[in-house]
Amino acid sequence: MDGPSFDPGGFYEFDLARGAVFARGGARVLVLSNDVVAPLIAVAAQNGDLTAVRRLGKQLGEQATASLGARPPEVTPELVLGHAAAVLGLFGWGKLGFEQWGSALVVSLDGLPELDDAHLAVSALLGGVLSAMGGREVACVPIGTTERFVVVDPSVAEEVWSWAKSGTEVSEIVARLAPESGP
Amino acid sequence: MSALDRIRKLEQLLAKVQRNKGAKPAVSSASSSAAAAPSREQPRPVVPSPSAAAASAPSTATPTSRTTPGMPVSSPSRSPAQVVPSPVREPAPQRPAAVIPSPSREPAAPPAPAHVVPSPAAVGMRRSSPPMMKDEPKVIVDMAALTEPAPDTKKPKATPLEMALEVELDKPATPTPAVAAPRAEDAELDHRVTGRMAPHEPSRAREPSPPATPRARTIEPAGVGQPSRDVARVIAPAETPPARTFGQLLAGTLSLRPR
Repeated sequence: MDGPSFDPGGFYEFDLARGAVFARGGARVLVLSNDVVAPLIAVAAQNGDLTAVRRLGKQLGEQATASLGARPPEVTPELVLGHAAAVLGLFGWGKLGFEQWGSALVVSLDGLPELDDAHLAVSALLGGVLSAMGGREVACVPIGTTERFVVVDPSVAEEVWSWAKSGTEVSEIVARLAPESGP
Repeated sequence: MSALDRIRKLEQLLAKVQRNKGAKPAVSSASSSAAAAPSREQPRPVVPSPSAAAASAPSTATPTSRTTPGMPVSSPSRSPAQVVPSPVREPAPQRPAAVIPSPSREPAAPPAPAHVVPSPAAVGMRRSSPPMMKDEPKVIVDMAALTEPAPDTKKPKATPLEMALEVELDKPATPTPAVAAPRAEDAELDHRVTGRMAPHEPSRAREPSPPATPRARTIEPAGVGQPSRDVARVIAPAETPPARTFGQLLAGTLSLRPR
Protein backbone atom coordinates (compact mmCIF):
# COMPACT_ATOMS: atom_id res chain seq x y z
CA MET A 1 0.00 0.00 0.00
CA ASP A 2 3.00 2.25 -0.02
CA GLY A 3 3.02 4.94 -2.62
CA PRO A 4 2.49 8.57 -3.20
CA SER A 5 -0.89 9.76 -2.08
CA PHE A 6 -3.02 11.74 -4.41
CA ASP A 7 -3.18 15.41 -3.54
CA PRO A 8 -6.42 16.97 -4.74
CA GLY A 9 -5.41 20.40 -3.53
CA GLY A 10 -4.83 22.89 -6.26
CA PHE A 11 -6.02 20.52 -8.92
CA TYR A 12 -7.99 23.25 -10.63
CA GLU A 13 -6.74 26.70 -11.42
CA PHE A 14 -9.40 29.32 -11.93
CA ASP A 15 -8.03 32.15 -13.99
CA LEU A 16 -10.71 34.77 -13.62
CA ALA A 17 -8.73 37.40 -15.51
CA ARG A 18 -8.69 35.23 -18.61
CA GLY A 19 -11.99 33.57 -17.88
CA ALA A 20 -10.52 30.08 -18.07
CA VAL A 21 -10.24 27.01 -15.91
CA PHE A 22 -7.23 24.75 -16.11
CA ALA A 23 -6.73 21.31 -14.66
CA ARG A 24 -3.49 20.07 -13.27
CA GLY A 25 -1.11 19.71 -16.15
CA GLY A 26 -2.35 22.79 -17.94
CA ALA A 27 -5.26 21.30 -19.84
CA ARG A 28 -8.09 23.79 -20.18
CA VAL A 29 -11.42 22.39 -19.04
CA LEU A 30 -15.00 23.55 -19.29
CA VAL A 31 -17.46 23.30 -16.46
CA LEU A 32 -20.66 22.05 -17.96
CA SER A 33 -23.97 21.02 -16.53
CA ASN A 34 -24.92 17.39 -16.65
CA ASP A 35 -28.14 18.35 -18.37
CA VAL A 36 -26.17 19.96 -21.15
CA VAL A 37 -23.69 17.18 -21.68
CA ALA A 38 -26.21 14.34 -21.50
CA PRO A 39 -28.06 15.07 -24.75
CA LEU A 40 -24.79 15.60 -26.59
CA ILE A 41 -23.50 12.27 -25.35
CA ALA A 42 -26.77 10.59 -26.23
CA VAL A 43 -26.54 11.81 -29.80
CA ALA A 44 -22.94 10.67 -30.02
CA ALA A 45 -23.88 7.26 -28.69
CA GLN A 46 -26.69 6.94 -31.21
CA ASN A 47 -24.30 7.83 -34.00
CA GLY A 48 -21.82 5.31 -32.70
CA ASP A 49 -19.02 7.78 -32.27
CA LEU A 50 -17.80 8.07 -28.70
CA THR A 51 -14.17 8.57 -29.54
CA ALA A 52 -14.21 11.99 -27.91
CA VAL A 53 -15.33 10.49 -24.61
CA ARG A 54 -12.71 7.78 -24.85
CA ARG A 55 -10.12 10.45 -25.57
CA LEU A 56 -11.22 12.25 -22.43
CA GLY A 57 -10.79 9.03 -20.50
CA LYS A 58 -7.26 8.68 -21.78
CA GLN A 59 -6.50 12.20 -20.64
CA LEU A 60 -7.81 11.40 -17.19
CA GLY A 61 -5.75 8.22 -17.14
CA GLU A 62 -2.65 10.17 -18.06
CA GLN A 63 -3.31 12.59 -15.24
CA ALA A 64 -3.70 9.74 -12.80
CA THR A 65 -0.48 8.23 -14.08
CA ALA A 66 1.30 11.54 -13.68
CA SER A 67 0.15 11.84 -10.09
CA LEU A 68 1.19 8.26 -9.45
CA GLY A 69 4.79 8.96 -10.29
CA ALA A 70 5.36 5.41 -11.53
CA ARG A 71 4.28 3.06 -14.25
CA PRO A 72 0.84 1.82 -13.26
CA PRO A 73 1.39 -1.79 -14.39
CA GLU A 74 4.25 -2.05 -11.95
CA VAL A 75 2.46 -0.86 -8.84
CA THR A 76 -0.29 -2.43 -6.85
CA PRO A 77 -3.90 -2.34 -8.03
CA GLU A 78 -4.83 -0.52 -4.86
CA LEU A 79 -2.50 2.34 -5.67
CA VAL A 80 -3.73 2.59 -9.24
CA LEU A 81 -7.30 2.56 -8.04
CA GLY A 82 -6.64 5.30 -5.53
CA HIS A 83 -5.25 7.72 -8.07
CA ALA A 84 -7.67 6.86 -10.82
CA ALA A 85 -10.63 7.18 -8.47
CA ALA A 86 -9.41 10.55 -7.29
CA VAL A 87 -9.08 11.95 -10.79
CA LEU A 88 -12.42 10.58 -11.91
CA GLY A 89 -14.07 11.95 -8.80
CA LEU A 90 -12.59 15.38 -9.36
CA PHE A 91 -14.11 15.44 -12.82
CA GLY A 92 -17.46 14.34 -11.44
CA TRP A 93 -17.71 10.95 -13.10
CA GLY A 94 -18.55 9.00 -9.96
CA LYS A 95 -16.80 6.80 -7.47
CA LEU A 96 -14.49 4.26 -9.03
CA GLY A 97 -14.03 0.79 -7.64
CA PHE A 98 -12.24 -2.39 -8.63
CA GLU A 99 -13.57 -5.89 -8.10
CA GLN A 100 -11.67 -9.03 -8.88
CA TRP A 101 -13.87 -11.90 -9.99
CA GLY A 102 -11.46 -14.77 -10.43
CA SER A 103 -9.18 -13.52 -13.13
CA ALA A 104 -11.68 -10.97 -14.34
CA LEU A 105 -11.46 -7.34 -13.40
CA VAL A 106 -14.82 -5.68 -12.90
CA VAL A 107 -14.89 -1.92 -12.61
CA SER A 108 -17.68 -0.20 -10.75
CA LEU A 109 -18.57 3.44 -10.90
CA ASP A 110 -21.05 4.38 -8.23
CA GLY A 111 -23.04 7.53 -8.85
CA LEU A 112 -22.12 7.76 -12.49
CA PRO A 113 -23.85 10.42 -14.55
CA GLU A 114 -26.87 9.25 -16.45
CA LEU A 115 -25.81 10.12 -19.95
CA ASP A 116 -27.22 7.27 -22.01
CA ASP A 117 -29.31 4.27 -21.09
CA ALA A 118 -26.69 1.67 -21.95
CA HIS A 119 -23.86 3.49 -20.17
CA LEU A 120 -21.86 3.44 -23.37
CA ALA A 121 -20.38 6.84 -22.71
CA VAL A 122 -19.06 5.79 -19.32
CA SER A 123 -17.88 2.57 -20.90
CA ALA A 124 -15.84 4.53 -23.41
CA LEU A 125 -14.51 6.79 -20.68
CA LEU A 126 -13.39 3.93 -18.45
CA GLY A 127 -11.87 2.15 -21.40
CA GLY A 128 -9.80 5.23 -22.09
CA VAL A 129 -8.70 5.53 -18.48
CA LEU A 130 -7.58 1.93 -18.15
CA SER A 131 -6.00 1.89 -21.59
CA ALA A 132 -3.90 4.90 -20.73
CA MET A 133 -2.89 3.51 -17.37
CA GLY A 134 -2.38 -0.08 -18.49
CA GLY A 135 -0.44 0.71 -21.61
CA ARG A 136 -2.66 -1.40 -23.84
CA GLU A 137 -6.11 -1.15 -25.32
CA VAL A 138 -8.84 -2.53 -23.14
CA ALA A 139 -12.61 -2.56 -23.36
CA CYS A 140 -15.05 -1.95 -20.56
CA VAL A 141 -18.34 -3.66 -21.30
CA PRO A 142 -21.35 -2.34 -19.42
CA ILE A 143 -23.34 -4.94 -17.57
CA GLY A 144 -26.93 -4.07 -18.27
CA THR A 145 -28.09 -0.98 -16.47
CA THR A 146 -25.89 -1.59 -13.48
CA GLU A 147 -22.89 0.49 -12.64
CA ARG A 148 -20.46 -2.33 -13.33
CA PHE A 149 -18.21 -2.90 -16.31
CA VAL A 150 -16.27 -6.01 -17.21
CA VAL A 151 -12.76 -5.32 -18.43
CA VAL A 152 -11.97 -7.58 -21.37
CA ASP A 153 -9.90 -7.67 -24.47
CA PRO A 154 -11.50 -5.59 -27.25
CA SER A 155 -11.70 -8.62 -29.52
CA VAL A 156 -14.26 -10.29 -27.26
CA ALA A 157 -16.08 -7.17 -26.14
CA GLU A 158 -18.88 -7.52 -28.65
CA GLU A 159 -19.73 -11.04 -27.56
CA VAL A 160 -19.59 -10.16 -23.90
CA TRP A 161 -21.81 -7.19 -24.54
CA SER A 162 -24.37 -9.41 -26.23
CA TRP A 163 -24.51 -11.48 -23.07
CA ALA A 164 -24.94 -8.41 -20.94
CA LYS A 165 -27.70 -7.04 -23.14
CA SER A 166 -29.61 -10.28 -22.79
CA GLY A 167 -29.74 -9.80 -19.04
CA THR A 168 -26.85 -11.99 -17.98
CA GLU A 169 -25.47 -10.99 -14.62
CA VAL A 170 -21.86 -10.30 -13.94
CA SER A 171 -21.25 -13.55 -12.12
CA GLU A 172 -22.54 -15.59 -15.01
CA ILE A 173 -20.61 -13.51 -17.51
CA VAL A 174 -17.41 -14.14 -15.63
CA ALA A 175 -18.25 -17.82 -15.44
CA ARG A 176 -18.56 -17.96 -19.21
CA LEU A 177 -15.05 -16.63 -19.60
CA ALA A 178 -11.89 -18.64 -19.26
CA PRO A 179 -8.25 -17.74 -19.63
CA GLU A 180 -7.05 -18.15 -23.13
CA SER A 181 -5.20 -21.41 -23.64
CA GLY A 182 -1.62 -21.04 -24.70
CA PRO A 183 -0.24 -22.11 -28.05
CA MET B 1 -84.37 70.45 -71.94
CA SER B 2 -81.60 67.96 -71.97
CA ALA B 3 -81.86 64.40 -73.08
CA LEU B 4 -81.66 63.23 -69.55
CA ASP B 5 -84.59 65.31 -68.52
CA ARG B 6 -86.55 64.01 -71.41
CA ILE B 7 -85.87 60.49 -70.46
CA ARG B 8 -86.90 61.14 -66.90
CA LYS B 9 -90.07 62.71 -68.02
CA LEU B 10 -90.82 59.78 -70.25
CA GLU B 11 -90.28 57.43 -67.39
CA GLN B 12 -92.61 59.35 -65.19
CA LEU B 13 -95.26 59.37 -67.83
CA LEU B 14 -94.86 55.72 -68.41
CA ALA B 15 -95.20 54.98 -64.74
CA LYS B 16 -98.26 57.11 -64.54
CA VAL B 17 -99.86 55.31 -67.41
CA GLN B 18 -99.12 52.00 -65.81
CA ARG B 19 -100.67 53.04 -62.55
CA ASN B 20 -103.76 54.26 -64.31
CA LYS B 21 -104.19 51.15 -66.34
CA GLY B 22 -103.36 48.74 -63.50
CA ALA B 23 -101.54 46.47 -65.87
CA LYS B 24 -97.95 45.95 -66.75
CA PRO B 25 -96.62 47.69 -69.77
CA ALA B 26 -95.52 45.90 -72.82
CA VAL B 27 -91.91 46.57 -72.01
CA SER B 28 -92.07 44.61 -68.77
CA SER B 29 -89.89 41.83 -69.92
CA ALA B 30 -87.98 39.83 -67.47
CA SER B 31 -84.78 41.55 -68.23
CA SER B 32 -86.16 45.04 -68.18
CA SER B 33 -88.17 44.58 -64.99
CA ALA B 34 -85.26 43.15 -63.24
CA ALA B 35 -83.06 45.91 -64.45
CA ALA B 36 -85.59 48.59 -63.75
CA ALA B 37 -85.99 47.74 -60.13
CA PRO B 38 -82.80 49.21 -58.93
CA SER B 39 -83.34 52.32 -60.92
CA ARG B 40 -85.28 53.84 -58.06
CA GLU B 41 -82.95 52.71 -55.35
CA GLN B 42 -79.23 52.37 -55.14
CA PRO B 43 -76.64 52.36 -57.87
CA ARG B 44 -76.14 48.97 -59.33
CA PRO B 45 -73.10 47.16 -58.18
CA VAL B 46 -72.30 46.18 -61.73
CA VAL B 47 -71.57 49.73 -62.67
CA PRO B 48 -67.95 49.77 -63.66
CA SER B 49 -65.42 51.88 -62.07
CA PRO B 50 -65.22 55.53 -63.05
CA SER B 51 -62.12 54.97 -65.03
CA ALA B 52 -63.57 52.11 -66.98
CA ALA B 53 -66.79 53.97 -67.59
CA ALA B 54 -64.99 57.01 -68.81
CA ALA B 55 -62.89 54.99 -71.15
CA SER B 56 -65.80 53.13 -72.69
CA ALA B 57 -68.54 55.69 -72.50
CA PRO B 58 -69.91 56.80 -75.81
CA SER B 59 -70.22 60.38 -76.72
CA THR B 60 -73.58 60.61 -75.02
CA ALA B 61 -72.21 59.49 -71.71
CA THR B 62 -71.62 62.52 -69.64
CA PRO B 63 -69.95 62.57 -66.25
CA THR B 64 -73.37 62.85 -64.64
CA SER B 65 -74.40 59.52 -66.02
CA ARG B 66 -72.11 57.76 -63.61
CA THR B 67 -74.08 58.93 -60.65
CA THR B 68 -77.46 58.50 -62.25
CA PRO B 69 -79.16 55.40 -61.00
CA GLY B 70 -80.76 53.22 -63.61
CA MET B 71 -79.17 55.00 -66.45
CA PRO B 72 -78.27 51.89 -68.46
CA VAL B 73 -81.72 50.43 -67.89
CA SER B 74 -83.36 53.14 -69.89
CA SER B 75 -82.00 51.56 -73.01
CA PRO B 76 -83.06 47.89 -73.16
CA SER B 77 -80.49 47.05 -75.74
CA ARG B 78 -77.70 47.93 -73.39
CA SER B 79 -77.04 45.46 -70.68
CA PRO B 80 -74.48 46.52 -68.12
CA ALA B 81 -71.88 44.18 -69.53
CA GLN B 82 -72.44 45.49 -73.00
CA VAL B 83 -72.73 49.11 -72.13
CA VAL B 84 -69.50 49.22 -70.28
CA PRO B 85 -67.12 46.92 -71.98
CA SER B 86 -63.89 46.99 -70.15
CA PRO B 87 -60.93 47.06 -72.47
CA VAL B 88 -58.77 46.11 -69.59
CA ARG B 89 -60.58 42.91 -68.86
CA GLU B 90 -60.83 41.70 -72.38
CA PRO B 91 -57.26 40.66 -73.04
CA ALA B 92 -56.89 39.23 -69.59
CA PRO B 93 -57.96 35.65 -70.39
CA GLN B 94 -55.34 35.43 -73.09
CA ARG B 95 -52.55 36.70 -70.96
CA PRO B 96 -51.55 33.40 -69.32
CA ALA B 97 -50.76 31.99 -72.72
CA ALA B 98 -48.17 34.65 -73.20
CA VAL B 99 -46.70 34.35 -69.74
CA ILE B 100 -43.22 32.93 -69.84
CA PRO B 101 -42.75 30.36 -67.13
CA SER B 102 -40.20 31.25 -64.58
CA PRO B 103 -36.86 29.50 -64.83
CA SER B 104 -37.28 28.09 -61.38
CA ARG B 105 -40.37 26.18 -62.31
CA GLU B 106 -39.19 24.87 -65.63
CA PRO B 107 -36.72 22.17 -64.53
CA ALA B 108 -39.13 20.82 -61.97
CA ALA B 109 -41.75 19.80 -64.49
CA PRO B 110 -39.90 17.26 -66.64
CA PRO B 111 -38.40 14.22 -64.93
CA ALA B 112 -34.69 13.84 -64.81
CA PRO B 113 -33.24 12.15 -67.86
CA ALA B 114 -32.12 8.62 -67.37
CA HIS B 115 -28.55 9.33 -68.35
CA VAL B 116 -28.04 12.09 -65.82
CA VAL B 117 -25.73 10.97 -63.05
CA PRO B 118 -26.79 12.41 -59.72
CA SER B 119 -24.43 14.43 -57.71
CA PRO B 120 -22.40 12.68 -55.03
CA ALA B 121 -24.33 14.45 -52.35
CA ALA B 122 -27.60 13.21 -53.77
CA VAL B 123 -26.26 9.70 -54.00
CA GLY B 124 -25.12 9.81 -50.46
CA MET B 125 -28.53 10.81 -49.29
CA ARG B 126 -30.20 8.13 -51.33
CA ARG B 127 -30.55 5.69 -48.50
CA SER B 128 -32.64 7.96 -46.38
CA SER B 129 -34.54 9.68 -49.17
CA PRO B 130 -37.78 8.50 -50.74
CA PRO B 131 -37.60 6.37 -53.89
CA MET B 132 -36.56 8.25 -56.97
CA MET B 133 -37.82 8.04 -60.54
CA LYS B 134 -37.83 4.70 -62.22
CA ASP B 135 -35.70 5.85 -65.10
CA GLU B 136 -33.07 7.31 -62.90
CA PRO B 137 -29.91 5.23 -62.73
CA LYS B 138 -29.43 3.38 -59.51
CA VAL B 139 -26.02 4.28 -58.28
CA ILE B 140 -25.42 2.78 -54.90
CA VAL B 141 -22.67 4.44 -53.01
CA ASP B 142 -22.10 4.05 -49.35
CA MET B 143 -22.56 7.21 -47.34
CA ALA B 144 -19.42 6.60 -45.40
CA ALA B 145 -17.40 6.43 -48.58
CA LEU B 146 -18.44 9.95 -49.41
CA THR B 147 -17.96 11.49 -46.05
CA GLU B 148 -14.88 9.82 -44.67
CA PRO B 149 -11.57 10.62 -46.25
CA ALA B 150 -10.02 7.24 -45.72
CA PRO B 151 -12.75 4.69 -45.07
CA ASP B 152 -12.05 1.25 -43.86
CA THR B 153 -14.10 -0.78 -46.30
CA LYS B 154 -13.16 -4.12 -44.88
CA LYS B 155 -15.65 -4.00 -42.07
CA PRO B 156 -17.55 -0.92 -41.01
CA LYS B 157 -18.02 0.00 -37.41
CA ALA B 158 -21.16 -1.92 -36.77
CA THR B 159 -22.25 -0.95 -33.32
CA PRO B 160 -21.75 1.98 -31.04
CA LEU B 161 -19.74 -0.15 -28.70
CA GLU B 162 -17.31 -1.09 -31.41
CA MET B 163 -16.82 2.49 -32.39
CA ALA B 164 -16.48 3.55 -28.81
CA LEU B 165 -13.74 1.06 -28.33
CA GLU B 166 -11.83 2.04 -31.46
CA VAL B 167 -11.24 -1.59 -32.14
CA GLU B 168 -10.08 -3.06 -35.37
CA LEU B 169 -12.71 -5.71 -35.67
CA ASP B 170 -11.37 -7.23 -38.81
CA LYS B 171 -8.22 -8.09 -37.01
CA PRO B 172 -8.35 -11.71 -35.91
CA ALA B 173 -8.31 -12.40 -32.25
CA THR B 174 -4.76 -13.50 -31.71
CA PRO B 175 -3.27 -14.48 -28.42
CA THR B 176 -1.58 -11.60 -26.78
CA PRO B 177 1.94 -12.26 -25.63
CA ALA B 178 1.32 -10.49 -22.38
CA VAL B 179 -0.97 -13.21 -21.13
CA ALA B 180 1.62 -15.91 -21.52
CA ALA B 181 3.45 -15.06 -18.32
CA PRO B 182 0.62 -15.40 -15.80
CA ARG B 183 -0.74 -18.52 -17.44
CA ALA B 184 0.08 -20.91 -14.65
CA GLU B 185 -1.17 -18.58 -12.02
CA ASP B 186 -4.35 -17.88 -13.89
CA ALA B 187 -5.06 -21.55 -14.12
CA GLU B 188 -4.50 -21.89 -10.46
CA LEU B 189 -6.75 -18.96 -9.69
CA ASP B 190 -9.43 -20.27 -11.91
CA HIS B 191 -9.17 -23.59 -10.23
CA ARG B 192 -9.66 -22.00 -6.88
CA VAL B 193 -12.64 -20.00 -8.04
CA THR B 194 -14.54 -22.57 -9.98
CA GLY B 195 -13.26 -25.73 -8.38
CA ARG B 196 -13.31 -27.51 -11.70
CA MET B 197 -9.88 -27.18 -13.15
CA ALA B 198 -6.66 -28.43 -11.83
CA PRO B 199 -3.58 -26.27 -12.28
CA HIS B 200 -1.70 -26.92 -15.52
CA GLU B 201 -4.30 -29.42 -16.59
CA PRO B 202 -4.09 -29.60 -20.38
CA SER B 203 -7.72 -30.47 -21.11
CA ARG B 204 -9.36 -28.09 -18.75
CA ALA B 205 -11.11 -26.13 -21.49
CA ARG B 206 -13.04 -29.23 -22.54
CA GLU B 207 -14.75 -29.72 -19.24
CA PRO B 208 -18.44 -30.31 -19.97
CA SER B 209 -19.78 -29.34 -16.60
CA PRO B 210 -20.93 -25.74 -16.19
CA PRO B 211 -18.63 -23.55 -14.17
CA ALA B 212 -19.49 -22.54 -10.71
CA THR B 213 -20.40 -18.95 -10.12
CA PRO B 214 -17.34 -17.03 -9.04
CA ARG B 215 -17.40 -14.59 -6.27
CA ALA B 216 -15.69 -11.29 -6.02
CA ARG B 217 -13.32 -9.51 -3.76
CA THR B 218 -13.17 -5.77 -3.66
CA ILE B 219 -9.93 -3.95 -4.00
CA GLU B 220 -9.39 -1.15 -1.60
CA PRO B 221 -7.92 2.03 -2.98
CA ALA B 222 -4.64 3.23 -1.68
CA GLY B 223 -2.69 6.40 -1.91
CA VAL B 224 -5.65 8.59 -1.14
CA GLY B 225 -5.63 10.87 1.82
CA GLN B 226 -8.96 9.70 3.12
CA PRO B 227 -9.58 6.14 2.03
CA SER B 228 -13.23 5.35 2.10
CA ARG B 229 -14.03 2.23 3.98
CA ASP B 230 -17.23 1.47 2.13
CA VAL B 231 -15.22 0.82 -1.00
CA ALA B 232 -13.46 -1.90 0.89
CA ARG B 233 -16.66 -3.73 1.66
CA VAL B 234 -16.28 -7.38 0.98
CA ILE B 235 -18.83 -8.67 -1.45
CA ALA B 236 -17.74 -12.22 -0.86
CA PRO B 237 -14.77 -13.85 0.70
CA ALA B 238 -11.85 -13.54 -1.56
CA GLU B 239 -11.22 -16.86 -3.19
CA THR B 240 -8.41 -15.80 -5.40
CA PRO B 241 -5.21 -14.28 -4.23
CA PRO B 242 -5.03 -10.63 -5.06
CA ALA B 243 -2.97 -9.61 -8.00
CA ARG B 244 0.35 -8.25 -6.93
CA THR B 245 0.49 -5.55 -9.58
CA PHE B 246 -1.99 -3.73 -11.72
CA GLY B 247 -0.30 -5.09 -14.81
CA GLN B 248 -0.84 -8.61 -13.58
CA LEU B 249 -4.47 -7.91 -12.87
CA LEU B 250 -4.95 -6.38 -16.28
CA ALA B 251 -3.19 -9.21 -18.06
CA GLY B 252 -5.40 -11.71 -16.31
CA THR B 253 -8.65 -10.11 -17.33
CA LEU B 254 -7.49 -9.48 -20.88
CA SER B 255 -6.62 -13.12 -21.30
CA LEU B 256 -10.21 -14.17 -20.79
CA ARG B 257 -12.06 -15.56 -23.76
CA PRO B 258 -15.51 -17.08 -24.13
CA ARG B 259 -15.47 -20.72 -23.27
